[in-house]
Amino acid sequence: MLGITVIMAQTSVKGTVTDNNGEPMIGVSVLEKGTANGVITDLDGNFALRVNRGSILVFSYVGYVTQELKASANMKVTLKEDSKSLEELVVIGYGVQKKSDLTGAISQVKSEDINNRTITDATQALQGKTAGVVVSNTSAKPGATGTIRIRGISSNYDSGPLYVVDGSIMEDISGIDPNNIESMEVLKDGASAAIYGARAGNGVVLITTKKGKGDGKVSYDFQFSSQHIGHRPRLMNAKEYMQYYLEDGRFTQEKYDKDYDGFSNTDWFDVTFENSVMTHHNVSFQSGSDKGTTFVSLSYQSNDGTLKGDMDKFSRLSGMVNITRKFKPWLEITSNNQITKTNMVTFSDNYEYGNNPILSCMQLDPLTAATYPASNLPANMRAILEDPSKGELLSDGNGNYYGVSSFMLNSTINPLITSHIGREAIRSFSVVGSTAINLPPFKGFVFTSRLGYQLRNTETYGYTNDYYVNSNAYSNWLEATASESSPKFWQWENFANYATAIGDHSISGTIGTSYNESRTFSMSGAYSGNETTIGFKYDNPDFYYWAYATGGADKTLSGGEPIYTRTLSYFGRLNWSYANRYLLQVTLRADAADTSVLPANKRWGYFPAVSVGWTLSNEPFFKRLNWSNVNQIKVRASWGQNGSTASLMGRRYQYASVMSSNGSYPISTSTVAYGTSYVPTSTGNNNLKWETSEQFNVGLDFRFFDSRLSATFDYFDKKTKDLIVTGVTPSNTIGVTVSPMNAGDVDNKGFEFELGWQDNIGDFHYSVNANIATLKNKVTYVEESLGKIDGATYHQLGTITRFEKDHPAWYFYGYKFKGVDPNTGNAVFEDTNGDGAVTNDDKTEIGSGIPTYTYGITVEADYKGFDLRVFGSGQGGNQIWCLLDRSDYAVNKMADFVENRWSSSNTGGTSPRAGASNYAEYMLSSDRVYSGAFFKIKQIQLGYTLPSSLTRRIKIDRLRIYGSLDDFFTFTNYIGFDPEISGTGTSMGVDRGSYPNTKKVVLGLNVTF
Amino acid sequence: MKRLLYILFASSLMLTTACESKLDIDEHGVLPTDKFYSNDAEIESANLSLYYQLRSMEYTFMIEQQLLSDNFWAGGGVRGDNPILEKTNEFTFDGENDYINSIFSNLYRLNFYANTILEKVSEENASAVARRARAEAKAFIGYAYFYLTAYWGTPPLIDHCLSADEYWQPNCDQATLWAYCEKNLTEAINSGDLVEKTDLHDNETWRITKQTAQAILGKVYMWQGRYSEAAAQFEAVRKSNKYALFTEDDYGNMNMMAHKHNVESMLEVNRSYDTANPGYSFTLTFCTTNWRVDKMNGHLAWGINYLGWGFMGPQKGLYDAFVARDGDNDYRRKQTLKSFDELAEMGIHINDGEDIPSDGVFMWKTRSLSESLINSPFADARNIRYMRYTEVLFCDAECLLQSGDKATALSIVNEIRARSFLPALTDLTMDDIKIEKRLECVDDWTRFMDLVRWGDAYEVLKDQGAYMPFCNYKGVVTHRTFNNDPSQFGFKKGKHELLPFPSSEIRTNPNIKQNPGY
Repeated sequence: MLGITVIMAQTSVKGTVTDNNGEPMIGVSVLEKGTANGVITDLDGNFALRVNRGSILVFSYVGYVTQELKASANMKVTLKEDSKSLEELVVIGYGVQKKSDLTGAISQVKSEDINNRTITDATQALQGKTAGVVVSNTSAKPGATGTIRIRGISSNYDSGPLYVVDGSIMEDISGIDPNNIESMEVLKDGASAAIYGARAGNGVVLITTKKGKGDGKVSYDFQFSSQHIGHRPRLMNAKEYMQYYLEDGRFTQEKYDKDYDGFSNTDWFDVTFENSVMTHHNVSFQSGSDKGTTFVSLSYQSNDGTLKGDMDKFSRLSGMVNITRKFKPWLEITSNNQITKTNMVTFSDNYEYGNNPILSCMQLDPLTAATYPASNLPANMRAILEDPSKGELLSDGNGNYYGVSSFMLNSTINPLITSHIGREAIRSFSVVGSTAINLPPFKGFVFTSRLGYQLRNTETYGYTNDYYVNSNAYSNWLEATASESSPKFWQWENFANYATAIGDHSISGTIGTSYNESRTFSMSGAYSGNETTIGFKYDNPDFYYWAYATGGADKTLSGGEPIYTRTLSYFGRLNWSYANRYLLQVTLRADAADTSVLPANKRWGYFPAVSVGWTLSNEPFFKRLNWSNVNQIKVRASWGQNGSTASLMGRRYQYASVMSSNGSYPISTSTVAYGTSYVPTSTGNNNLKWETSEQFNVGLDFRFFDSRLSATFDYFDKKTKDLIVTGVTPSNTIGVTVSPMNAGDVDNKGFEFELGWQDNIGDFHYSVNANIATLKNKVTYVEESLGKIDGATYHQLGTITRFEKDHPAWYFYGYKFKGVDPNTGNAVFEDTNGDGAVTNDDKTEIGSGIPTYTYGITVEADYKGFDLRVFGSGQGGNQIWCLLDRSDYAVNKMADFVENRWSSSNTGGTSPRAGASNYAEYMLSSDRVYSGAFFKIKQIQLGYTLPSSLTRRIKIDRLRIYGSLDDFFTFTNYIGFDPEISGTGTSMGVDRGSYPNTKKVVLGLNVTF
Repeated sequence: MKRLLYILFASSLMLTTACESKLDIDEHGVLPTDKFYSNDAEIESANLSLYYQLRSMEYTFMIEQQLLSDNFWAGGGVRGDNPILEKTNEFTFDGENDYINSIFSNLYRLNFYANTILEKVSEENASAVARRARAEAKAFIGYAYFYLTAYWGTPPLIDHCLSADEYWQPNCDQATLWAYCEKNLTEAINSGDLVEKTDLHDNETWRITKQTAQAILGKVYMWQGRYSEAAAQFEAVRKSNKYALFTEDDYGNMNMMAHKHNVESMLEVNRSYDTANPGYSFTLTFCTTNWRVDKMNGHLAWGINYLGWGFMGPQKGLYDAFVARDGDNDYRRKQTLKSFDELAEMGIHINDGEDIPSDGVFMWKTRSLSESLINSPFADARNIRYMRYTEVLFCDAECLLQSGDKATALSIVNEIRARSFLPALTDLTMDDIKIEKRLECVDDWTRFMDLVRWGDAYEVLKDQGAYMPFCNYKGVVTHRTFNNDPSQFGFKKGKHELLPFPSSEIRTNPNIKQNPGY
């Protein structure tokens, strides 16, 4: 052998390796095929090597397609990124699979679509990027997280998916900096999700964080955003307000003469909102080779929300350390870890009663000024100031008192007062991650033992000042509340993967177990004063802590009890493919819940799945057609079952009927002595079992023109059976709470279409990716003993959403508005049951908050260092119920509500008169239901990357600057703040005054050393 | 090496399998239902749930009954302050009225707790506590069904704890329901297991007594027009000598904290002045009386609660009824109501320039005072009185009169008048009883029920809702119109004699029929 080597003539080769963009690639491995002879490219992508004449060189780099080229003297090698190739790997849960082998419906969102956005929560990146995924938000306040719905509303209340971060199940993924995410895979069909069995009923989102790549890279990303509130609803001005309530009869001119200064015309939006700033820093260090990878990152994100004052703030400091290391050929350790610290100051929105500044700024009368100087207080404020028995009249400290309305005697109060009444700060700290040992004892077999862990700690601290607005909104004392909660979660999973090929047959399999436990220990309490004592030693924020409460303060304390939850699971998966043409996957998972969730005899759920695929384009007959423009045609079909107990909303032992104390009753007149009252907690239901989603999916994948054009088409039909229904009252005569039941079926079906095109015209590279999904949601069965299920309520005006057979889940339930009675000016409703009278029975479906279609489009282009990215998303077919009005108090109203109202001089008005007798019912009628359709351009980003020849001189590999307009343009007919933000769950599509998305002007910087 | 791996793999599988027992997690802080009723202490705990239920339901039970009558306005600080109460007061309510619905559900909850006791505490159990629990359960079933039947006419009869296949019970005919009330009350009364007061001044006996059960049974008969049977029950109460008219303090103070379980008390919910547990005494009842405090001054000097929403303002018609009966200056009226001018003399005023939805009349007899508040205007140590001896006496007088014993009836009414230093009547008609009972029982929640029973409701209430009075700081009352369509407000014949079943009941239960007109 030695002799042969000597004989073979050696030659010297050299060359440069660059990436798609022509940027030199550092650290690419260049290996003479079949030998150990190799080098790594230098800083400028150059390499030089002596090889045997005629030999083949192998160029490889993590994340890029490996190339084999014949050695020549002066080589120019371009490596293509793996993501653009057919052989892209997709994370599928306990393993990865080649994209070409997929038989289910899995959508992928990659880091390009996640990085450099103004989002703080990774889930928001899914919106508009994948067909069939809807992100709905009840609030866009700083630190709020969205609810993701995959393929419709299946579970009853909580339809959120399961998140799996680097293999570890997580309920809260808000600690992850979106810039640290490599990819997110959405397992949409039942068969793909089946490997997560009992938790996958609402779909699964797999999140893979970044791993180290390249030979030592340091990156710094910086983003600065200036944000402001977008659309401001049109409201009545002072003059219109006064006229309205004169007509209403609630106020007289005398009242105005007495209480109105005659000139105030307050724009409460100006009082409530201001421009504010968001910043984001991210530093990362990474390197990778075939021995292992390291990724270390530190990031800081802050968002001072648009409300004036310090009511809405969020900041997050997070670190990530991801390491893989091969210690032996048969031993690899991977460890992914994040440490996160968040601080949040927050308040309640999407809340119909009073003290919600988002609602208050729309409802406060324009006659009251934001502040009054001490020298010129209105009578009602003077009365508060002069009455020592009342709480404090709050001021800005400079002698200006915050305005208190004498027109609205309810808890709708000046947002400046809201922001000074008190504060709640939430601080949390978490260490989450997973560490695994991978043992490949022989080729094709890997045994993995993985430990997932989440150590979290959340403390809240809040106080409420003494203040007085009116007898519905006051406090004569101070209160300090605090809580601490430390949930600890661990998950141990053991599984083995084996893959082998026998001839044209490829077979692989996975088998394993999973066990997890969470233990939460928390305590919360409050010290407060009362009508006789203020509660704290001094009325000074420095004393608003428990330590400085007075002896007479009232105390409450709760918690101090460990709460455990555990799950045990077994799972297996078998893949078979023949000649890259026929694909088959079979999955089975068995899950057991603990007795706090389900009765022991019903704890096990079994969730099977099967899927098949046929890659038509790999058939010999197809190849013979010689359609060079067709790269791939694949047909897929899948069926699978998944489970859920999410509808129990985390409440424990709901199925059990036990004796519990409901209160203490005094048993003496002369002394203080109590007896305890014990009652059965519920009817009990020992047959409660897993709720099951069964989904059928067919799909088609196409690739044309050198894979420049790709298209994916899916049809799904997802039936959720044995829906768990809680908190229902089949009859008021039962007299006790009815335990949860498996009592309904919901059907979601629809089409999904994803289309991608990319091409180069010379140096100009561009791509277009678009997706659209349709959804039809229908309740197909409700258990006989329930009939129909009532959902959300509004004020004390009854049920507004319902769950009923042959209707969409939680449809809007109200009167159909027919018009205005020209004689009385009262609203007229349709007599839907035709019994000759309009009664409660005539309420009917007047809308639904579920969009029937959603879509998104992303256009990217780059040319000589310039890059442009435009991204928009939209939805339609849904309605928003605009519940931003009140009939009980003299609230300001939207101009649209009142402009053409009936009055004695406008008897043809199309809205009821001011103070119509049935105004409350009218608020809950179809006239207040608006189209929820919108299209939002969520991002227009223009970037410029400085030429590397320039930046290289200052040792910078890449320097990109960009500007962006985020959430800037919205096209909608909705009259409220933001059609994107409304209620979720049973209140889906109900707008009670939610914090809207802000418009953002963004400047950013990406640097790589 | 490989062998080690296999061992590791196999053992990890076994380890996780062994974990299944870890899935059995016991619930904290509860007791199993099947074993619960095994001793006297536990039976007494279940028994207390009946009283605790009365305590939980008092606010809506009281205020709805009061506002259905011609004695009160829904009031508040402004029009719209409490739309549910305005709708109740103006007869524009329907099956979505949360307060009416809560009374319905609460009475059925009381019935459920009672049924639970009857099912779980064995008839064979000879202990005194067990027997008393069963007797009280029957008495409270009678109590609950008296109101259910009187207000809803044909509510479902639920005589046991329902299982899942029995949730949709149909309407039950009234005769069956009345018979069911009579049976339960009679069994309770005859059991010998209900307590009785030791003597007239016993203020420690707080449980439902034999006499209270007799009074409820009397009302059941009276509602059916069976006056002599009713009178027999009421007379039994009167002749027990365990109850009397309250004279220990001023008439207008009989509801205050110092007079819990006084001689007139037939049934009341206990509260304690316990600064360690103000939450145990939470109630909205006392914040709803008085006037809206934002708009008044001078009241603190009279010890009046610093919080008041004024949701129960007396109507001028009530004031006028006192004047028409005994002139403008009698003790009873002054201890019941104060006029605007009387308040002004006391230094209590409406704030300058303000007005409130009110006739300018102030309810004195149930005024809310600061003395009984426990560190909070929502925690009040006053007991809530569900039934009063005066009411029983009026029922007695009415039934005696109707069954021919006018002399005894007259003496009873005169006894009541004499307590307030009013001259005796020389003759007695039903009209006298109606007027006297209205004036005496302002705080007994019975006015609407009586009007319906007497057939007077339509005449008295047909225009209620045509206007709302507003009294300004000068005492000038103006009427403002909010309902302009007479077909949409006021008591309607053939409809408002009964309350609507909750809409949710109609929506879910296909076997129940809504009452006419709703």
